[in-house]
Amino acid sequence: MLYRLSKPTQAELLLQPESGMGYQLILANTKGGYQRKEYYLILNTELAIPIDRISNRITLERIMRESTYTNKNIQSISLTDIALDDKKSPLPLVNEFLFSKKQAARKNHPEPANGIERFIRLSAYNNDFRIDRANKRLLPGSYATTEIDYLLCRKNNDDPVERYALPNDYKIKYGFIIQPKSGDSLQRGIVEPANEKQGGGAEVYFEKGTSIGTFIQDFPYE
Amino acid sequence: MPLRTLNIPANFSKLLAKFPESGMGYQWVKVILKNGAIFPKHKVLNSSILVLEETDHFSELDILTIELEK
Repeated sequence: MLYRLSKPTQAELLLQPESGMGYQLILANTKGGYQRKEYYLILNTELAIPIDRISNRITLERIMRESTYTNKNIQSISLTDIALDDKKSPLPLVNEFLFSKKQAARKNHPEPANGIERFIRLSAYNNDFRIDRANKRLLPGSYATTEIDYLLCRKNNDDPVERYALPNDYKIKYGFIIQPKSGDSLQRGIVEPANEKQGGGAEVYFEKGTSIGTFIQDFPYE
Repeated sequence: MPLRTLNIPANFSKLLAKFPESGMGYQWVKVILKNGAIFPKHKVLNSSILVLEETDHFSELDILTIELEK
């Protein structure tokens, strides 16, 4: 479930610091009607997702994809008694998304892909050499970002070159969707500052690449 | 200042594509020329495009080998 925040609520949230790049984690009451304090994930001070409605990472990805790509009317909501929550939320998924892996991907332990989660590789080149088109896979030693982080980047009109600390000489023109198979190994982390860029986006490193058939499609990045 | 780049010979490209990236879409490499000159800490984009610095003056034919920077 996704809500669009009222203008007064947006104005109040802009006075609060971010919890991370492009989002805030807050505890708040809904204005009017039955009042109940709930945790919300706020995106770009504009959209609110009640955290207890997020049952898994896939649900979060779906909600964010819908918020970016559709124009369907989203119910408006006003929040009161807003408090920024700098402690871990009660939902493990959100903890994992927001608070863990605060260093470069290669410094973190590998974990298996779940076979459903998707990742996005951004590139200046349609003939990106890390995409093995013959076998439809990502080559070993390659980086991508999470679909959630990519959607956050688009939603917030962030500069991907800054967010993913890419070389100055780079202009993102293409995206490649990767859906690793269950058991493909990956390492999650946060892009550390590099190339005179601040980084801060999510990065995922595939030391062994991905299985055959995991490169889904490419798309123009506009 | 316009960007100066060099297309890396295909054999080196294929080699670089087998090595890990330093970040999404780029690698830090050391270029060693046939005359022995070494050019450390250079960026290669897409395993195929070497970004030259202002003071670099060599062509792809001058390259002996390209190694990944540790």
